[in-house]
Amino acid sequence: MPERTIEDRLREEYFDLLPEIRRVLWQLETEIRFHTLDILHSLSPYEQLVIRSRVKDCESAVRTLRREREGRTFDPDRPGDYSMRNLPDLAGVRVLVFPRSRLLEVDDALRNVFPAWTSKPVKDARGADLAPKYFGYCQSVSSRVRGEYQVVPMLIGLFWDVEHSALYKATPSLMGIARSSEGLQLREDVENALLHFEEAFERYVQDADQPPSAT
Amino acid sequence: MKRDILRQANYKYNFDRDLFYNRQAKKAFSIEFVDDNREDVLARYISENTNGNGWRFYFNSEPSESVKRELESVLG
Repeated sequence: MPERTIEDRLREEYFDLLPEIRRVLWQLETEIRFHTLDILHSLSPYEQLVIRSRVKDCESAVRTLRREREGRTFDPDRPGDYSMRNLPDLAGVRVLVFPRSRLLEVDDALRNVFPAWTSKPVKDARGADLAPKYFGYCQSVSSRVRGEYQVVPMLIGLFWDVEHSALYKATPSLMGIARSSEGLQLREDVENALLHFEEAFERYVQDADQPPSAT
Repeated sequence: MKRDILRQANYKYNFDRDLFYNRQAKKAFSIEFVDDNREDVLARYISENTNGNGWRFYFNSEPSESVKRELESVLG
């Protein structure tokens, strides 16, 4: 009988954890929906708040663990070094907000609900914070599986969705395009263009909301 | 540019393992090693004589023998 690989062991661990991953996701998504409900009801017609959740799929989780090592290779002599429980994002919720002026409000509301969670913001190419991101345990549901949530400017989040499904999901070998210097530059250009659009939009809305000055 | 130096020395990039490799020279450089070392250091390792008996891996952390075997089977 062929020896079980580290990938086999990790897949087994994943499916052992899967019911807990789903429970963490339901708990996290429900809490986030509940605690952002007041903001949702106060939105202007041009504003949006969309909540999306996902369970990280098994192969993506295996790939993420493999990518943490130099040479992207599991050491078959050290199977104990690898565990699905090391991943902070098996259960993930993304809150998409438009425009960005609402982002801080959502971030503050959720920070009060998950004060002990670890902050690890998503950075842009120059190292500036692009989107707040946190991970931690929903103690009432699981002490083995962590959840993650992020609050993302909507335009950037939708761009990430398209980029992720095109370059990471369909063909993992295309990940190299995303990490090449040209790919990184293109990504930065797109993110900057989307942020500029939001800034211009917000200025336009502010100007439009100003009462006409008395003459 | 480090990547130009590697390209000129006929190194290809393995996107799955994030390695620059040259089958004839039997050398492979991890992306972390390339990022963390100066161009002149990289050039010295590229021209280093290794006798060509087996693969030589330039990593920040020396890979174990089993990892080397796995990578050798991937790189051919």
